[in-house]
Amino acid sequence: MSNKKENHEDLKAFEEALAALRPRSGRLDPEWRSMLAKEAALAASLYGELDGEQEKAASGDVPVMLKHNLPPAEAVMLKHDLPTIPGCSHLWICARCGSVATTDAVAKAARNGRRWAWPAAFSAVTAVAAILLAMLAAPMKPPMVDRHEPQASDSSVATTGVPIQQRTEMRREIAFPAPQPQSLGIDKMSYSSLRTQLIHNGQESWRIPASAAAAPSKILEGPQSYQEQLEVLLKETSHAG
Amino acid sequence: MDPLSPETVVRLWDEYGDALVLYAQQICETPEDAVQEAFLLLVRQGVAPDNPVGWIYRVVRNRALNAARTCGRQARREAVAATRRVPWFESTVGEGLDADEAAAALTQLPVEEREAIVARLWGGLSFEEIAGLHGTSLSTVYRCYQRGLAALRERLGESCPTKKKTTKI
Repeated sequence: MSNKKENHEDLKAFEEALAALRPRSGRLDPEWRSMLAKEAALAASLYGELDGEQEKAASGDVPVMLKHNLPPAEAVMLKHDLPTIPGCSHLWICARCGSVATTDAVAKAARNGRRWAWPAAFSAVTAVAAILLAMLAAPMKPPMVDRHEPQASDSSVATTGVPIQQRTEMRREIAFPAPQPQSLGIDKMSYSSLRTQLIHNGQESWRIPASAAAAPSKILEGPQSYQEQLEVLLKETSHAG
Repeated sequence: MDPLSPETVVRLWDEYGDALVLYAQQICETPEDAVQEAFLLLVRQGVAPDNPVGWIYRVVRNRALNAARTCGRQARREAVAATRRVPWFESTVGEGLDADEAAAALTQLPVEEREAIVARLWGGLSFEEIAGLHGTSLSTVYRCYQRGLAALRERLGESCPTKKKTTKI
């Protein structure tokens, strides 16, 4: 028994010796100390402003939401959206256990904010996907081209025994009929029609009028472009006509 | 519930700051952060809790556990804590336990025993408060504390001046 008591006393003495050790100081940031003091002063002043609201809440004028031991002042602050401490307006802490508390209002507000977010995003993405799918599925129509089909008799002749190259030439001629030099009066020819004629029928198709051929002096004079020469020629031709 | 005055915050910081760091150091690698964040939470709640010291110990413990969980390296943390350069205690002069030896002996103990000893000896918490902090029964905490203290005494052994004194008697 005495041994047990002696052991207990010994342990007590050791406990005192151990408690004499002092934890290392200066590990906390001293700037935090002053910052916390300032924040506490601010919070205390705010709490003073809320005191009246708290009394009102206690008297039953204002409904107070208490959840998870939330202090009444904070509940009032939450309920009426009163000015809160900057930087900590959404932090609600249980006064007893220190854990972050949530109230029904906070949870409801958070739920309301997020209620339509996912459905809206889903709808938008679905709409985009539907549009893309429709674009992909719809056949791309080729551009409409007016094509003059040859007469039945001609086509029957053309399709029987005519080489492909010749048929292509025929189609081209049908699609872009070359201006006939006989049908066009040479005096009424413009530059573009003359060019088309030359392209399709060759230079031989163009008969230079005698008057123009007789006086080609202006054409040959000086360095001139082909177009200028043609214009001069046309002018002279029209004069001659 | 009374508003939390700046004087209360400063007093808590001055009186319990170092002990809280020591307590958080038993759990995580960043004890200073845990303590500072706990004080910030205390200030931001705007009202003084019923038991501010117990409240802040609880918050520090939660923060430290979160930090340790985030790191997810419990075994490595203990190894690092054992070899950590930052001394736990102020260096002792003259008679008394050697601070470095005491810290080294403390690191050898299981976390629960260490927590109980630090909270009791340097935090000044009662066994009831420690039991509430750990979420265990009073008897469990008491046994844990006694077991840790006995193990410490055994480890420190010869260097314990009080033991020498008692053996002489």
